[in-house]
Amino acid sequence: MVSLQHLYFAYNKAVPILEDVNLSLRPGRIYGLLGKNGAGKSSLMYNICGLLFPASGSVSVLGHTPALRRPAFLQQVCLLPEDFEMPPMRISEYLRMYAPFYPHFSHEAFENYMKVFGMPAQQSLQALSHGEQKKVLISFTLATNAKLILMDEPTNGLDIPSKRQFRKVIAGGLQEDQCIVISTHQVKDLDSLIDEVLILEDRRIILQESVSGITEKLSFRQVMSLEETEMPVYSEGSLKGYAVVAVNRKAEQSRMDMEMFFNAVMTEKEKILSLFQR
Amino acid sequence: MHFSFHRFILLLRMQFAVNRRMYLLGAAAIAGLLLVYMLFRAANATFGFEFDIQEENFELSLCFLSLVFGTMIFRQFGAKTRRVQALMLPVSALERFAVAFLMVFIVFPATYSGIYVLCCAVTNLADAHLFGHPNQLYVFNGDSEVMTLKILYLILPVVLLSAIWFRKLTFVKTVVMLCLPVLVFSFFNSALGKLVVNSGSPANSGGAKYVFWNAMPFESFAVATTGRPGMETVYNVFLPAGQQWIFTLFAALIPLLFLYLAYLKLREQEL
Repeated sequence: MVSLQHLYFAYNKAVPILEDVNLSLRPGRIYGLLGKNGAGKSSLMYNICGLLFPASGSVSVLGHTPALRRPAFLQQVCLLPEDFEMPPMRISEYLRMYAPFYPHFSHEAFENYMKVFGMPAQQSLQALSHGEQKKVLISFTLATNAKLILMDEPTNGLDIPSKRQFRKVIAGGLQEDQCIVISTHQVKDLDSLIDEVLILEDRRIILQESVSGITEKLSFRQVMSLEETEMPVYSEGSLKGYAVVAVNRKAEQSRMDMEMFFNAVMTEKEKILSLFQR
Repeated sequence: MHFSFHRFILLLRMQFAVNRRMYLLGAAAIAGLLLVYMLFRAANATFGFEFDIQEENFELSLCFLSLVFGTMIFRQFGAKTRRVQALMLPVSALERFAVAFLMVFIVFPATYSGIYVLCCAVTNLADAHLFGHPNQLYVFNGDSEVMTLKILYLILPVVLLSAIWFRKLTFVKTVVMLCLPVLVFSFFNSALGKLVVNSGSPANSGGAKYVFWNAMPFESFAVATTGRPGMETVYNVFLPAGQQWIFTLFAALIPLLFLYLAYLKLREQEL
């Protein structure tokens, strides 16, 4: 579905943002794109959807070259930006104006998503708060039935119940032929959704691994003292003792803590990456 | 080049829907300003709001306001928040360009002309019945509309290009972009003309000399003989009409080049 090969990108030639990025994304999966501030997550997403053009390397999305931004490509790719501005019109008019550009747009799905978010269908967009506008935009993005959906910090600005509603909407809305990439720092909001983790660091993807693959190699535990666990790879003090990431030698089942995992990768990069080298 | 008439219509409809408030308020503001100016002129000028003044005002204001409107046609590309959404909309660059072209070249001039004539008609009635100046009403029945259209044809492509090129201070930069070539052209035209005349003098001049008067490339060259002040004789040399077409063709092609550049710039828009 998405294939990036030896992608180089820079706003300024002297300071590359992405270097030799190789990535392959498959349909039917939700990818979590993680990285520090300024790592190039948004730039990578913009390269995938054709908002930025690579300096070299190739990007192929659904058989299209994104930089050409052909309508047939844009009908199948939808981006939910972190910052946005809604036009001064009612929700119904917004639908009337924008939905016809997407041939697979489902009005029924849009109404369902809006219901899940508890949003009224007949209201002026300008009268809504930023969070509410975001819910409209999320509903619209999912209702386009685009094959590739890119979301940049989708839970920023959403209140606590809305984050749960967001997870419900995404989990229920994904189809077999669709792929969703979520770039976020709010990993705790989304870690139950994500199928595969992408970590962007040092201008390249340093790790692409499924959640099941990660929990197969690593175990995530809560212990009272560090002696209770055999050679933790990474640990963090917590109120209940220690949160620990350890090598999963006994094939234990544990629930992945994405924030812990990301911190572990950042601090013990070589140790952890060596576990996933194929 | 991808073009779908259906998407073009959708985009045009969206252009009106998104900018509806601005267009309506703008039209009301223009009509208000025109009426205030026209009625003031009708009430205070000796001969009221005359036909020639109506015509002259129309031409100047049409050119100026078309420039202002044109610089705002790609405002959705100005701020990053709007830009992302505009660029991700499934339309081709050609469809975007066609909508911008239609709005700037046809819709705005036609709408403005309608507003102007309406205001003129109201003023004309007031002028005749209240202020006692029975002036003829201007309804595009002057002599120089064709010249105005030619000027619009020359400047609007530049306006379209700079509207997509410059994200900030578009109007100011467009005015500079329009004025700079005119200044450079005037300077070199005059300098070249003076160089050609140099210190030439007519045969049996009796001390008189030629001085450069004015020139238009591929059209005419005028020199004057110096004599007593106020007694200069001006000689105009015209290129035969059959050969002037080179310049006409050249001048007509320049706007097309700018239009093509605007299309290319639109196509290569990045975040």
